[in-house]
Amino acid sequence: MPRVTRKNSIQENVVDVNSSPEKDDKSNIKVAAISAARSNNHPESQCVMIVPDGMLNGNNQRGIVVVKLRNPKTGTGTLYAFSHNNTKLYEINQFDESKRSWFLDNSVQSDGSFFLTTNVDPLFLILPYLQKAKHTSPIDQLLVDEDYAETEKLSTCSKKEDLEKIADCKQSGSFQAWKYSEEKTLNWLEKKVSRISQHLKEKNFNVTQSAVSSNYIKTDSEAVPESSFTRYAFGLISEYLCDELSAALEKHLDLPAVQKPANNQDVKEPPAKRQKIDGETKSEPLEDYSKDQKPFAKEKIQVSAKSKALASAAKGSKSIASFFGKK
Amino acid sequence: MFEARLLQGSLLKKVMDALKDLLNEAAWDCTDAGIQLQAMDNSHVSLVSLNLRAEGFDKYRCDRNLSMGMNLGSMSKILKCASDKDIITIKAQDNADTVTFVFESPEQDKVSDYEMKLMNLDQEHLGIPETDYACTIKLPSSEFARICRDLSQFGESMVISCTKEGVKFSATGDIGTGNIKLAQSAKVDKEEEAVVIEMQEPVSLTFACRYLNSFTKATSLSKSVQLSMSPEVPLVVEYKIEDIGHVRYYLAPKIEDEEAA
Repeated sequence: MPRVTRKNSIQENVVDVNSSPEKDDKSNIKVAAISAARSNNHPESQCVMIVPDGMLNGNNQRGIVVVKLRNPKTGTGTLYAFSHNNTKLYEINQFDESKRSWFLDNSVQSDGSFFLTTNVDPLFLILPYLQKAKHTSPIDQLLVDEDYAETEKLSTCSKKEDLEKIADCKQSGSFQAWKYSEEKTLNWLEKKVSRISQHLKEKNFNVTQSAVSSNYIKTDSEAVPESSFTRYAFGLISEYLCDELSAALEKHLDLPAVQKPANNQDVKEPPAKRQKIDGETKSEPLEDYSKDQKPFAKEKIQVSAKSKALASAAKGSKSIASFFGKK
Repeated sequence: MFEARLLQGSLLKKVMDALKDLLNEAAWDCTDAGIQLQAMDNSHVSLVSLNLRAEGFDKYRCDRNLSMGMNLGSMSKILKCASDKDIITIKAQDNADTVTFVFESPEQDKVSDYEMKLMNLDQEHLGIPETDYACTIKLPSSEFARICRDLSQFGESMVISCTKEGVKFSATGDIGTGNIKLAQSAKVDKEEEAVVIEMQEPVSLTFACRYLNSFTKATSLSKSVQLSMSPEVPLVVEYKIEDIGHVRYYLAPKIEDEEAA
């Protein structure tokens, strides 16, 4: 979970969310944002959410707004959170461990999962709408989604200079219309990727395929190739992109092809240890299941000369089935 | 539970010989009326239909209809283990995946049983319509076997033409031609030795000799064989098995045009 690593920038706040039971259906859930103001009336409808510091500033009752928006990667509805003045967008990740519960004051909450809210660039969510648009149009007309009415709020999250990173602007007076530009988008994404890979490198993040113990220090500092960091960063970014764009970005970044994990079948086993053979009797098992099994080919039907001749004699005759109907 | 006891074990051996040339595997459909088998050869040119009625068995029990897919090669190997005088019992559980053959010697002093794995065969059954054939020819089975054997030396296909005068089998090939004419027997001493021809209209059809030769593997089952023909429909070669049933072979005629080409 790479996102958990960013936790030190987030001050933990235990928040009480007065959500109604039909939380998933209702896309608009107000968060009573102050941890002190816990209502004990509904102990079962509370959950733990970790939010960035300052998001629930002081006695400000406005809090954050949890809404359902279209996920840019999957295209399905996913919960996101807007800050109270719709300037920042947060994605919500649930982190769950089955054997855990929370003590919240005097109550116990059996659901031990917690929600992490992390800042996310709203452009990622705007991108699919821009891509879909056929004409140059103003941003508030682009961000219309029948299923997720709150999509329009995205327009307030993004400033003009942000939008210019992914789209061409046509302006007349105060009227601004936007047209998706793939070239700009890819450049923008490339910058994101390089920044993440730079960060990963600084933190000496393990981007290789195998797990490495943190206590394990390599004696010779075998350099992890630059491309591994780039590929890892690309993987992180593509979690916010649709498949086509992700493929385009991969091409744009000119990433080396992923090395497939060595196929076990190709790896030759060392020759089996020779077993002692006393006399004629071999103690070897007849079948060795550790070795590659031949796929069960359909038993070869031995074609005898006779049946071959019979088949050749059949030439020039119609199939018997053409005379007799199927039952 | 299925159980069929056949006093004349040799009969099953002969049936096996009659089938195994043409078929590699077949489903034996057992009902309380008896055992049926219907299968096409690999090239789907001929069809074999075997019927063994329940009355023909010494003991017959079939609680539930079942279809046993058997590899005929394996079955024939097992039946080779039975001697001609043995009493053969075929047994299977209702939903079994094996079938058991029990061979008892006539003196009951030797009992051997063989279990064979069944196969999953999804075979389609063909509906064979009742047909009034234009010609039916009854002749001694050994005679028919002889004709097929002799003529197959000349060519790959054999013309069977039936007219008022009698029935003519002919084959043409590189070495020449061969014709065998059979006329209806004038006087009949033994019924099974007679040649009986019933004809509504003359028919002439061409068939593959090799298939006919395979059919004659059933010669030992019956003294006489009946051939039924109509224009442009398959030939029927029927061997009646005394008291128990019959084995019928259907063979699609060769198409004349291709013959000429």
